[in-house]
This record gives sequence, C-alpha cells and structure tokens, in this order.
Amino acid sequence: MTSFKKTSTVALLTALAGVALSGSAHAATDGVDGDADSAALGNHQKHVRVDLGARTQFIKSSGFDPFSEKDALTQVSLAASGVFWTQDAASLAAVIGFDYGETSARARSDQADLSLARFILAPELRYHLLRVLVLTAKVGPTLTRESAQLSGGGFGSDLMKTSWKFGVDATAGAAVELWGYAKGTTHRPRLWATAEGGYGWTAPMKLNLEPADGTTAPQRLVAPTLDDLSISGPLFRVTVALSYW
Amino acid sequence: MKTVMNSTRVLGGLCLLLCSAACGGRPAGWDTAYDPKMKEQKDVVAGDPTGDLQVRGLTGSVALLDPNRNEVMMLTSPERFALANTRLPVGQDVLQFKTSVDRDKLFVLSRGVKERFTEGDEAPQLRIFDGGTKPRQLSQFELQDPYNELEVDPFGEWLVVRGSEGLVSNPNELVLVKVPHGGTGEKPFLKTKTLDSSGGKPTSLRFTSQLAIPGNTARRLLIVEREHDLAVIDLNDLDAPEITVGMPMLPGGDLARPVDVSFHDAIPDEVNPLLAVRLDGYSNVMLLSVNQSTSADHAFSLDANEVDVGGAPSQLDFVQTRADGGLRLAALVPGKQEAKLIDPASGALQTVSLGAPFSQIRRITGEVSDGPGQDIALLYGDTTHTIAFWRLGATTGTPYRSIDLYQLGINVAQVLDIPTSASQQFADRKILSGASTGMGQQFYVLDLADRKSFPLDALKNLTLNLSPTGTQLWAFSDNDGFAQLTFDQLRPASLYAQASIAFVHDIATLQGSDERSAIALHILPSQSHSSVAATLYDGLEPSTAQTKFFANIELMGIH
Repeated sequence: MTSFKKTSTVALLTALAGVALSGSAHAATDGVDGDADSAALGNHQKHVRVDLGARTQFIKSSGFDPFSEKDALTQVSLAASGVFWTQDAASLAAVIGFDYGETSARARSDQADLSLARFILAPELRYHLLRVLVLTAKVGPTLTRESAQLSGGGFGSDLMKTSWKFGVDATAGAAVELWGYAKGTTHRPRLWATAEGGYGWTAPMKLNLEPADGTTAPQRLVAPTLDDLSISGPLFRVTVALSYW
Repeated sequence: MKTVMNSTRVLGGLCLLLCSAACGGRPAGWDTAYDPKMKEQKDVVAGDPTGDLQVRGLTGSVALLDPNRNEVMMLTSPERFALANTRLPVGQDVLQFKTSVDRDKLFVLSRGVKERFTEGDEAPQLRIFDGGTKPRQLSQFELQDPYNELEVDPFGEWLVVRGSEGLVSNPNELVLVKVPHGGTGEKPFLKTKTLDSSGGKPTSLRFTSQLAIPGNTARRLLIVEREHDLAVIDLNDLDAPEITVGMPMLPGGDLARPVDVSFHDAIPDEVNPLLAVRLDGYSNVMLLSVNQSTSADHAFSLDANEVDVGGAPSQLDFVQTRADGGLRLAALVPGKQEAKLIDPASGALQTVSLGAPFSQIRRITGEVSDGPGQDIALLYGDTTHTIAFWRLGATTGTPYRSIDLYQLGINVAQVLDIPTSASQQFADRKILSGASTGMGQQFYVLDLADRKSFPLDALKNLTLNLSPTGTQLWAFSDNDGFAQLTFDQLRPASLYAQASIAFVHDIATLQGSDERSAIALHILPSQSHSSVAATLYDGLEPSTAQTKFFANIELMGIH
C-alpha cells in the first residue's frame, strides 16, 4: 500500500508539472473539435466529476509519532462532485469525498499501525479563469475513522483503539482540463488534473488503547499512556478526474 | 496561456515545498528498541535479588536501565495501583548501576563515547539520583577517563570510582566523590587521588566508621587493600598523603596478600582504634593500632603487630567481652573448628572450641535489645548446617558453655540484615539462606531475641528481596509465582502474576506511610526485542485478585 501511494503521488505530480511546463496539453485537444466556441463554458463548467488521487497531510502531533517515521500521511483520495449552480464563470458543486490511508512503524520493540478513513461532504466554489482552468475553494466537515493498534508487548494480546472523529477540511486549488472537446455542448468526457492545498483539522483522539477482543490479555490491563492523536495540519491533494454531462 | 503556465508553476512549487516539509521525523527514541542490559558476570553478587538484570529497588522507586536510550526508567507509584515512569538520562554505556545501602540513592557510572573525536562526544560520567517517590538527578560529575569500578560507602558518605579503562591507566588512581546529603548543606565534590605504589594495585576497599584518633579529631579512614600492602587514606583530609603499610613476608619468601580488614573504634582507657588484617592463606593476622600522629603530614600514625592464630582464619572481627571494654579480635579457624580470641593490648591468645566448622561471624549485639552489654555473635558457615550464638562475655571464663548450637536444614551461605532505616521493629531478625540439605528448599527467619529459627519451605530456589521498610520480604523465582512474608506473624502469602517475574519490590507511594505498592516486574519478549510490564499490588496486603497489569512500560515517557 505504501509503495502504491508513493508511486501514484509521484505520477500525479509529474503529470501536473508536465502541464505547467509545457502548456501544450489543451492545445492538442483543440484540434479534436473544429467547431469549438472558445467563449462558451458549457460542459467545461457544468458537469459531474469523479476524482482519483492522493492526499498528503503533514501531522506534527506527538501522538502520531509511534505510527510513522515521518510527519506526513499519504492517503488514496476518491471524490465525486456535481455542479448544481452556475453564474457566468462561477459555479457551485457538491462534493463527497473519501480518503483512506495506513501507516506503520516500529514503536521501540513493538509494531504500531494506524489506519484512517475520512469522509467529507462539502460545497465547492469554482471560478473559471479560462475555459480549461478553474480555481476552486472548499470548506466542509469531515468524519474520520481512526484505528490504532500496538502489536507485541509479549503479554499475548494486541492493544487497539478505534474511534470516529469529526473535523473540518478547508482547501483551495485549481483544476486544469487536460483533454476534452473544446465545444462546451459535447457529451464526451473530459480529463482533468487538480491540485489543492489547505488545512485539515480532526478532533484529537485519546490513545487509551485496550486489548483486542477475543484475546487473553492479563486482568485489569493498563495500556501505556500515549499522547493524544491529532490528525491535523496542512494538506495537499492532487487528483486526475473525469467529468461528464 | 501565459496565465495557465503561471498558475500551474505556482502549484508545482507549492507541492515541492510541502514535500520538503514532510521530511520532518519523529523523536529518535521511537526507533530504539528496548533491550535489557545484563550485568557482567563479575558484577553479579551472590544473593543480590536483582540477579543479572540492571534493575534496582529503591525506597520510593524501582530503577530499570533503558540502555538503548541511555536513560533510567524510575518507576514510581503515586498511589496504590498507579504507576508512573520518570525517565532520567544516565549517560552512554553504563558500567555500574548501584544503590546506597539505605536504597535512597542510585549511582550510575557511564563510559561515554569511547573515542571522543569531537567536543560534543559525551565524556565518562558519574550521576547520582534520588531514589524516593519523586526521582530526580542530584549530582553529575564528568570524569577524565572511563572507570569500571564503583565502590559505595556503607555509611552513605562516599563513593570511590576506580579501575580506569584508558589505553594506559593507573590502577592506583582513585576518584573520591562526596555524596550529597539533603540536610547538611554540604556540597558534593570530587577529588582524584593517586596512591604511591611499589608495584601493587588495589583489590578491595574498606570504609571505616568514625574513629576517635588520639590527639586529633575523630575521622573516617579508607583502607585500600592492594596485592602486597595497604594504603590508608584519611577521609577528613584528602590532601594528606596516604599511609602505606607493607605486608609481612611469608615463609616461602613472598609477601603476604591482604584479603580482609576489620576495624574497631577506641575504647577509652583500654585501646586506640584498631585495624585487623586477614592475610591470604596465612595463619598470622596483622593488628594495626591507630595512634597519635608522629608527623606533620598525617593526623595519625599506625603501629603494626602480628599474631599467629594457628591456622588460616576465614574471618576476623572485633568483639567486646564486657559492656565497657574487654576488646578481643576473634579469628575463626574453621579447619580446626576453633576461634581464637586475641587481646590486642598484650597479644595473648585464648582458644575457644566451636564444635562446628564455622567460617563466618556476625556481631548481633546491637540487634538484641535486652543484650547483656558484652557482644553476642552469630556463627555460621556454608559447610555446616549448624549455627551458633556466641556470648562473648562468658567466653573468657567458661568458653564451652558460652556457645549455643542450633541445627538447621541448610548450610548458611548468607545472612541478610533487616533494613532498619525506616523501622527498628524487626531489627532482631535475620534471614538465613543457603543450600538446603534436603529435597526441598528452605530459608530461615532467625529471631535473635528469643533465639528461635523459623524454617520456611519453598517449592523453588527463591530469590529474596527485603523490603526497605524492614517489615517484610519478597521471595520470587523466574516463573509467575512469588510470596510475601511479613515478619510480625511470619505469615507467607502466595501470590501470582500473569507473566514471568524478573524482580519484586515494594515502594512508598505519595499517599503517606500507610500506603505502599508492590511491583512485580516482567521482561517479556517482543518481536525479537523486549518489552517491560509490571503488575502492581497493594504493598502491605497484596492480593492476586486486586492488581493492575501495566503493559509496554518502555513506551511511557517517550516524546
């Protein structure tokens, strides 16, 4: 999972950088539709979009230290959005997103594992600077399932804690249409690359670990007191997306 | 198009910035596995309840070395069934890990970085810690060279660091450290002293109590036993040169080797302070009288005398045959099943037949509250299952009737004193342990006042650890069972833990003297390394049904 996440992140960044440096990707799509109306946004703006990418968050919480050798967590990011309101170059979309990621590390003699699954539901404000370039801004509540596990200890049981925590993501970024018919009325899909950055806050989780169910842990076990886990910090997300209308 | 390019370049730059921020890591402590450090075999003392594990039971804490982090974990119990871990740095590569006799302080000697190529490389260090309910570092001394030996003054005032590990080292270099004391206001200090030598090197050290020096103030002496002489250091004047006392020549032409030194303070109008030196394999003992000074360099002088006791003695000790004096040097000669009583004033000898090959003598006068004034001694040995009470007062006139023999089921190899710093209640008890003669295992609680010995059967060869309170002991082996034995009713309570036990100790809590916690420490295997756990019990009335099991203690306090 870790290597996949790294690979996908690098691939997405490479793609985005390629667009930035060459500026030629959209020029290639212009030739597809000879009747393009360059002034009309049409389905460039109003569409349903599905995103797949990576979300990396920087986490300075000391409670995160047992689970990761770095202060960052990369997750697979899935999202679906639909534009429900437009006004000139501005539009509003409803976004539902899901991020999933795991991290593992040695916590001294033990193995520490953490998995995070986050759901977000948020309105996204979009503004087309160009027909193929959109600025985005989004603020929305999140619900995160945090599952921590400590294995080892030599007493015959793993220690676990799972909890659901509310939070907020606030991000802003841009989307670039990499491929698609220039004509805004076409019903063909369009390929987008997006990048956004911002801040994510999740309510801290007390890491009062308990023996895993069904194990023969010692009676009246007291797990070590670890610092609270606070999945909060700057984040950025890069995705590739397909839009359709 | 220009706008597109500019925007995407900004985003790319932001991504690179964020990626570089992700390179921050966690504290290195999380990457360091816990592995207990075992003592070197030469440092494992027979009867030491900590065995070969670098753990120490103190008055208010249990100190466990965390060698891979160069820290000591000071486990305390703020209240019953509660555990806290205070991590304190101890320096790199710990060589010695000892406590004061009262177990109120912890002493840690570390080597530091062996080859110090940079200023930042850690130097060898000696650190002193408070072992109470609020552990903290009391003092820290940086040493010029690494040393591997640490001698602890039984009276709690001094430490001696020696045994340099440098490429070229002088074994006669001693580092004397004055131990800090809370109430005195005296600051700790360190003084290096290099002894003159005619080729010998120190083998053992002996601290005396305060001795009333004729014509001078009372002072303590440090006696350094070397291969063929003694060096006597005045602990009140470390600048004064030591007095070297040569050993006598053996019949074969070699110089005798000192193996033990006993001392006794002056008795007014009878004798000056005395030192007695036992010589290896030699029937002569050397008596040194501490007399008035004869030079400006020293506060005292030493006069030597030799007495032949007719066989190689196994132990020497001074005894008083009257409440106000009658000092004699008792020399046990187990080969003849005899003791010799030497009058230090005249050198006259009196032979006392003991009836068993006793090799050890322990004065118990102070522990017997209604003692008659003259000394009473306990005789024992690891080649006999007999012990004896020797009333010295009657010996001079009627030596045979003065010795009361008692049969035990064990050969007594060790006599454990009940700690009396917290309570004198059971000062008249001794714990006798040693190899059993029968199938089972036994140890004995000896009531000196009533001259009774209580055998306690054990299923296994248990390790005994006396509580700092002096009211109970803990007996444990390396499985999951252990026992508490209270001295008031000699009532053993069998207890169990849910993991194998490495050490058991009871400590004070922050809730006052009515509340104590007992800790059974577990060192458990964990993914090719080790993990520390502990079961906490009520320290006074423990019950297996009322415990708390603290897991992964090595993770506590890592930030």
